[in-house]
Amino acid sequence: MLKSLQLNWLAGALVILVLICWSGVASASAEWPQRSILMVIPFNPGGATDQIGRTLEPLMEEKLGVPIAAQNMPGGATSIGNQYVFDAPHDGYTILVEPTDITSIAVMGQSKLTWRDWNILGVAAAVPAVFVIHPDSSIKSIAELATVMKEKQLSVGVAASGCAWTRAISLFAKENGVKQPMLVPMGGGHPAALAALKKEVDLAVCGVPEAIDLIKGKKLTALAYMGAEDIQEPFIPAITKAFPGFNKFVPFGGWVGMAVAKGTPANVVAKLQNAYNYAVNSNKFKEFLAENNFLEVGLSGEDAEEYVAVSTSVNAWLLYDLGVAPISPEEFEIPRP
Amino acid sequence: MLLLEIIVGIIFLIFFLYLLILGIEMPEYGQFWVSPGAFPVILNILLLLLSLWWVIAQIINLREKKELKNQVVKLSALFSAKEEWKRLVFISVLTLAYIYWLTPLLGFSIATVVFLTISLKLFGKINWLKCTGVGVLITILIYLAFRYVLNLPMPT
Amino acid sequence: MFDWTALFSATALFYIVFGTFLGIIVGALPGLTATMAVALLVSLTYGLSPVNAIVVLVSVYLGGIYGGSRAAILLNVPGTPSSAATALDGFPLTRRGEGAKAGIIVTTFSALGGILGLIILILASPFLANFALKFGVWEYFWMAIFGIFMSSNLTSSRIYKGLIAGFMGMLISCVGLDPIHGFGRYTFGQTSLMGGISLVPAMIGLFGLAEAFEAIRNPLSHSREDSEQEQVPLFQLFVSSLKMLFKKPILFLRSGIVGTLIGALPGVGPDIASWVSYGLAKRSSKEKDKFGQGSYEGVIASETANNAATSGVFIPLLTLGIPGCAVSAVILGGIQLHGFRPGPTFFFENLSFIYFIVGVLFLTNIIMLIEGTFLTKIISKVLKVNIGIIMPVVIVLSVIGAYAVNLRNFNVGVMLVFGFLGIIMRQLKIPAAPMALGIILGPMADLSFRRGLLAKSYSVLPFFTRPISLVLILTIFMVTIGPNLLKLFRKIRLKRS
Repeated sequence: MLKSLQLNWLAGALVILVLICWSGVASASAEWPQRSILMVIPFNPGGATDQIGRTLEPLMEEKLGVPIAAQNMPGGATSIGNQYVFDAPHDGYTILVEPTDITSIAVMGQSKLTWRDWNILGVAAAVPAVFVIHPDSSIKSIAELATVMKEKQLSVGVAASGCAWTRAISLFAKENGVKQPMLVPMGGGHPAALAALKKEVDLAVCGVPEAIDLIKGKKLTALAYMGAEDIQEPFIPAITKAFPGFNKFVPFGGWVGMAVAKGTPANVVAKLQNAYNYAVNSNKFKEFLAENNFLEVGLSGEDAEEYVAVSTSVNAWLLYDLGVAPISPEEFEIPRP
Repeated sequence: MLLLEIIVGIIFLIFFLYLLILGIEMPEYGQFWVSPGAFPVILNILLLLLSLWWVIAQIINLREKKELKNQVVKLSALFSAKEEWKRLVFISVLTLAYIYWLTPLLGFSIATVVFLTISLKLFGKINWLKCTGVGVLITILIYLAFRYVLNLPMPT
Repeated sequence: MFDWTALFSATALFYIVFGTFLGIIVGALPGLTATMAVALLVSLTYGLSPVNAIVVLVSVYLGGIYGGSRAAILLNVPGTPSSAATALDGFPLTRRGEGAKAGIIVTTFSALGGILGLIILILASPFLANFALKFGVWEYFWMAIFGIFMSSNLTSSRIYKGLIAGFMGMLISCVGLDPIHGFGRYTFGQTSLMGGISLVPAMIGLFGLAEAFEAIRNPLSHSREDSEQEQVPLFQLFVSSLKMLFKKPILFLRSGIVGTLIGALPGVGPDIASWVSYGLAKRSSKEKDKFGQGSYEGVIASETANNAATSGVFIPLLTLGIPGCAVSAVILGGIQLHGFRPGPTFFFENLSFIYFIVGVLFLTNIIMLIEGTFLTKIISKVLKVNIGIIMPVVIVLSVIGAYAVNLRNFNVGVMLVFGFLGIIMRQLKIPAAPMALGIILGPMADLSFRRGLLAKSYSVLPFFTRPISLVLILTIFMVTIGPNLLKLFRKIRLKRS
C-alpha cells in the first residue's frame, strides 16, 4: 500500500501540525498582552491627535512589550473611530487616542457616545487654536478679521463639525457680534490649514502644532492664537492683545488624551495605565510637546476623567447655546458647567 | 447573454430606485446638497439612467437579431447543470463550508488543511496523498510566514 | 547634519534588499496590498535607526506596488489596486505563453519609471509642489470623475457598463457613517455596516475570489500556449526589454511623467496614475486594437506610471510636508518621529536628508529591478502548476487577507459577497476594475463636492468656472465621452444609409 517513505513523510507532517496546535493552545492561557495592540487615531495623519498618538506609541510599546499598530480612522468628527473602538471587544487590544470631540459628538448628533463610555487613561496635551490665513489675503490682523466678518460671511476651514476649532471661531464671532461663518469640515486640523493655503477657504482654524511648519515657512499668516502670551518663534500674537475680553477663555482649543472602553478588565486597564503614565512622563514626550507648542496637561486616571467631564459640560453647552449643536446636552444628562 | 442582461437591468432599475428614495430621505444639515444624502441621490439618478440605457440598448439588440426564441433556449441552458457549473457550485459550497463551518469547528489551521486537501483532490488532478501533503505543507508555510514574519493573527 | 552616507552601510543595504523582497512577495500575493504591508511593518521599524526605518518603509512600499503586477500578469489577479490596468493586457500575454517576457519587461520599466520620477523630483519638486497646490476640492472632484470615466471606457466595449460598475462602486463607498456629519448611510441598523465596506476585502472578492472560482469553473480560461518565449534565457529577455525602451521612448517618457505628476497630487496616487497612463497610451498608439488582447504598450504604460507615482508621492511630502496617501503618511510619521519636520523650508535647509531620500529611492529601484527579474522567472515557473492547485491556495490567501485588514470577521463576509458578485458581473460582461476604482474614489468625489459647495456658499459655479476644473472637464469629454458619441453618430448614420 503506502510506501514507507511516504508514510514517514505523512507522520512527520502530522507531528508538526500537532505541535502548532498545541502552541496555539498554550499561548491562549498566557498573560495579557499576547498580541499586538491596535491604537485607533480618529483623525487624518499629520494632525495634533495623530502626532501625539504616534509619539506615545513607541514609548508605550516599550512598557507593554508588544507591538502597537497605529491606524488612522477619520470621519464623522471622530465618531467613526470612537464607535469602532467601542464596538471592538473590551479586552484592551484596541485603544483610542481621544481628542476633545468626545465632548461634542453626542450633542452634534454624530454619535451616542460620551465620556461616560470610556476609561480615560489620561489627558496628555492641550492644543490651543490658531487663526491662519493665506498671506495674499487683505486681512492682516485679528482686529481686521472681526471688521470684515461684520459685513461678510466668510468660509472657514475646520477639522470637523463641532470640533474644537468650530467652537473657537463660533466663540470669536459671538463675542464680537459678527456673522457666524460658513464652516467647511476638512477632516483634520492640518487639512484645514492646507485648505487655507490652497485658498479653498477664506480662513482656517486649527491647532497651533498643526500649522506651525506652514507658518514658519511663510506659507500661511497666523492672525492670532487663543493663548495668553505671544508666541515668539515664529511670531504669533496672543488674541488677548487685540481682544482683552478673551482673557477669561484662554487657553482655548482642544486636548488630546487616551482612552479604552469601559468594561475592560481592571488588570488590563492597570497595565495600560502604567504604560501610558510611563510614556507621558518620559523626556522624549515632554520634549516633543515643547518643540511643537503643545501645552502639557499631564492628568491621568481619575483626575483625567474629571477633567473630561468638566470639559464636556463646558463644550456641549457652549455649542448648544451658540446654536451650532442641534441636540440639548440635557438629553445626555450633561450638567451645566 | 442578452436576456439575462435585460432581466438584471430591470432588477437594477428597481434597486436603484429604492436606494434613491432612501437617499432623498436622509437628513439635511443646512442644505440638502451638502448633506449625507446629496451624493447618493446623484449617483442613484445616474445609475437609473445608465441602467435604462442598458436595458433599452439590449432590447434593441434583441429585436435586430430577432433572437428571442434563441435567447430563451440559451437562458434555460444556462441554468441546467452543466459540468462547468457543477464545479462552480462545488467550490462555492466548499469555500462557504471552510469559512463558516470548518474554521469555527476545527480552528483555522486544520480547517485550511481540510479545505486544501479536498479541493486539490476535486480540481487538482493529483492523488490523495499528494493532496494531503501539499495541503499540510502550504498551511504550515502560511502559518509560519504570517504569524512570525508579518505578525498577523489567524482568523477565528 | 544628517548622515546620509549611512545609506551605504551594510545594514542599510541589507534592509533595502530584504524590504524590497518582502514588499514584492506581499504585493504579489492576492489578498495583501502594498499599503497593508507597510502598515504591518511600521511598528517593527521603531526599534531601528532613522536611516534603516525609512529605508525599510520605502523599499517595502516600492516593492509592493511593483509586486502587484506579478499576480496581475500571471494569474489575472491584481495584487494591488494599482495593477488592475496591468492585468488587462498582462494576462492575455501570459495566455500566449509570453508571461515571463511580459514580467521582465514590466520589471525593467517599473524600475526605470521610478528613476524617471526621481529625476523629476530632483529637478522640479518645489515648482511641481506649488502647482499641485492649485488643485482645490473642485479639481479633486473632477479628478475622481475622470478616473471613473477613464477606467470605464477602457474596460468595457459599451461605456455604460463600465460606468454602472464605477458608480456602483462609489455608491458602495457611501455605506457607513458619513465622514462629515456622522450620519449612518445605507446601514439598515447594522453596526457592522456602520464601519463601511472596506476596499481591500471587496477587491479581494472581486478580483481574487471571483477569478479563483472562474478558473475552477473553466480551467481553460487559464490555459497557456506553449511558446518558444518560455525557453529564452533571462539575460536575453532583459536585453529585449531595453530594446523596447529604445523602440518606444515616447511611451516610456509619457507614462513616467504622467505617473510622477499624478503621484504628486496629494490623495491621488498610483491607482489612478496607472489608468490615466494606460488610457493615454491607447489613444496615441498605432496599434489601438491590441489593447486588451495582449499589448506590451499597455502593460508598460500602466506599470511605468504606477512606479513613477511612488517617486511622485515624495514631492509634496518633502517640499511641503503633505502626505499624498496612507503609506506616505506613515513614512512622514516615521520621518517626524526621528526629528525631521518636512515643510516649506525643509527642502532647502536639509539637503543632506533630501540626498538620502533620493539615494534610497534610487537604490531601491535598482534592487527591485534585480530581485524582480530573478523572482519573475521563479514565480512564473511556480505558477505553471495546474490551476486547480493554485486557485484553492489563492482562496485561502484571500480569506486571510480579507480578515487581516482590520481583524473583523465581517470583512470575510464582504469578500464572499463581492466574490459572487464578481462572478455574476462576468456573466453580464460588466467589468470589475471600475467598481474597485469607484470604491476608492467615492469618498474623494463625495467630500470634495460637499466641501466645494460649503466653501463658496452653496454655489455650484466654481466647479465649472475654475480654470483647472475646466481643463479636467474638457479632458473627460475629449478622451471618453466624445469618442463614444462619435461612435454612436456613425452607427446611426450607417443605419440610415
